[in-house]
Amino acid sequence: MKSNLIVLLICAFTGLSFTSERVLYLLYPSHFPAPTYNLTDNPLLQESIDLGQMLFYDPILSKDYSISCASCHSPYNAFAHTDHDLSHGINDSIGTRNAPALFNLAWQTSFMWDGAVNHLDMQSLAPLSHPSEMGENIKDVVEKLSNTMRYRTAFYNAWADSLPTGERFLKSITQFQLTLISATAKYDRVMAGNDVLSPQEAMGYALFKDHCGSCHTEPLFSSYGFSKNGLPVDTTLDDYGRYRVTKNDEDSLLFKIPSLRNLSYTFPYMHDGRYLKLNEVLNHYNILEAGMIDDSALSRPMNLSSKDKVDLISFLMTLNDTAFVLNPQNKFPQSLQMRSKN
Amino acid sequence: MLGSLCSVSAQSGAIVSTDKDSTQDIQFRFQPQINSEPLKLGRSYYISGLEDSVSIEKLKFYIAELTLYNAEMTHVHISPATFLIDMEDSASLQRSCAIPKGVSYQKLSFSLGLDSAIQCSGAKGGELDPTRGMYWSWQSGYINLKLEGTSNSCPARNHLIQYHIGGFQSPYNTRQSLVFEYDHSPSILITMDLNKLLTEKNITENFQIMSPNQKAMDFAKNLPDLFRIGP
Repeated sequence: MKSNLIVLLICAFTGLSFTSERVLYLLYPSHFPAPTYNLTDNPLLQESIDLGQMLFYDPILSKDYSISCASCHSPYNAFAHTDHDLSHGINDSIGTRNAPALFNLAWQTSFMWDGAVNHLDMQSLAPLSHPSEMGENIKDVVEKLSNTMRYRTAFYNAWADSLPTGERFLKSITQFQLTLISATAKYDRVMAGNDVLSPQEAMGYALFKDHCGSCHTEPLFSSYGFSKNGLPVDTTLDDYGRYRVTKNDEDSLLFKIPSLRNLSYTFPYMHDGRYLKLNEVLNHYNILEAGMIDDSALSRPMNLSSKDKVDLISFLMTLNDTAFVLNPQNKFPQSLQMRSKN
Repeated sequence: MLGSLCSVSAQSGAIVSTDKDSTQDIQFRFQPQINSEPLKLGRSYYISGLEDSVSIEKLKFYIAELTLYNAEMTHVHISPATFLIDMEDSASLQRSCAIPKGVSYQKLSFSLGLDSAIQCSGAKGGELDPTRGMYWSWQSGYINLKLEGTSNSCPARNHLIQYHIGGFQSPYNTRQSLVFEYDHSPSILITMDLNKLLTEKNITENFQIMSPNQKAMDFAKNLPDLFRIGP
């Protein structure tokens, strides 16, 4: 497998010399495009990745020390919140959207279901500050970290300065998230020439390319653009998607196109988690008719037979990346297991 | 005007020199005023026109791209610094930057707010650190100007006036460019006349603007009028 990985060199890195020998690279397969995240602004170091991983799993980020990033983005579920339609937060509060799976973030240029966040570094501010998620603010989090010896040591190791700042905090979380790369599914082995699709999967792949591939673009299985998918508005949430950001009528009901990788782990589906089963999602698209929505990609009815649906799902199952989900490196870190008050 | 200024500076490049013999320091002093007095946070001011008192509790704004240039635009100096002016931090009101000596600069410009290059390139430190309370969490972007206060005339809860003016994407790009005549003085007082902001309409109708939208744009367009060089 290693031979299929190519190394991205951070050629332009000219930062502090004491770190230059320790700079790490993102590994990804040759059938992937180059990542869009600019690593020259945030060179990867093992110590910063480790710090980011500590922060990701530590409920110190929330107002009452009860909720961590991993509360809604569990490693066992491709960093989604399996079986929960809407995100959870402090004081048993429930949010308004389904917590998305986290992987291949180095290839994404906008974040949240409505694209409200324009850079991975700034994304964690949204759940951190949301009253129904962590209910905290970055100034207070940085102060809490400053008062914790374990973090002063970790910041020193990562940033050559024991003082936590907002910038270092955000960039460390980014670094951990950048390492969450899902590229070892059966599909990826097939692309590398190390495996073959079964006849049923191959028929499903043909259906996928015909009906799904223009939005759920290979090999990341999303264009990471926005689309109207014909779902009626849930009037208990009144979520009009990207309209909230742009205030442009044309953007009403546009939502981010999610990746189809790791679908077995990331149910329920859609921006509000309204469908528990993949079959329900397929049925939704199958009954969409011309004129129901003005998105040209969805204006042609799929008209899939029951057999077609089974074939399509068998292909989608080749996008499950068990090695990624089970990767012990991504899980709750040792550094947090020995808890001490200071 | 700003368009041509930017293109000239892009061609000639910003002159950033650290050579003490060839540069001189100029001082900028930012002085927000109410009723022609230097603003004191938390103090109550009677505003004629509003016929009521107003107290300002918070005033912070970003100044960027401080630029000096001569009439022919053949000499342009752009300071690379970004300043967060914060009334709670008196040191932040006094700023200096080094400029090349021996050039007869005649105009001064700066932007109130941050450009999209800063807003789209991830986490920043120093005066741009999100812990400074000038970054929105629910939607990417800096608050260019934050003003909070109270007045009995304001119908909001606790009579709180809240202006968090930001937005960098069209059609709600709230950053403003200001241009002034410059008289070669090494010490420049930049006065901000808050009376022009504390109008009846702003206090009783537009008392709460906290996201990039048309109201924020209309508010931002009036901000350059508040600033002048001199007392």
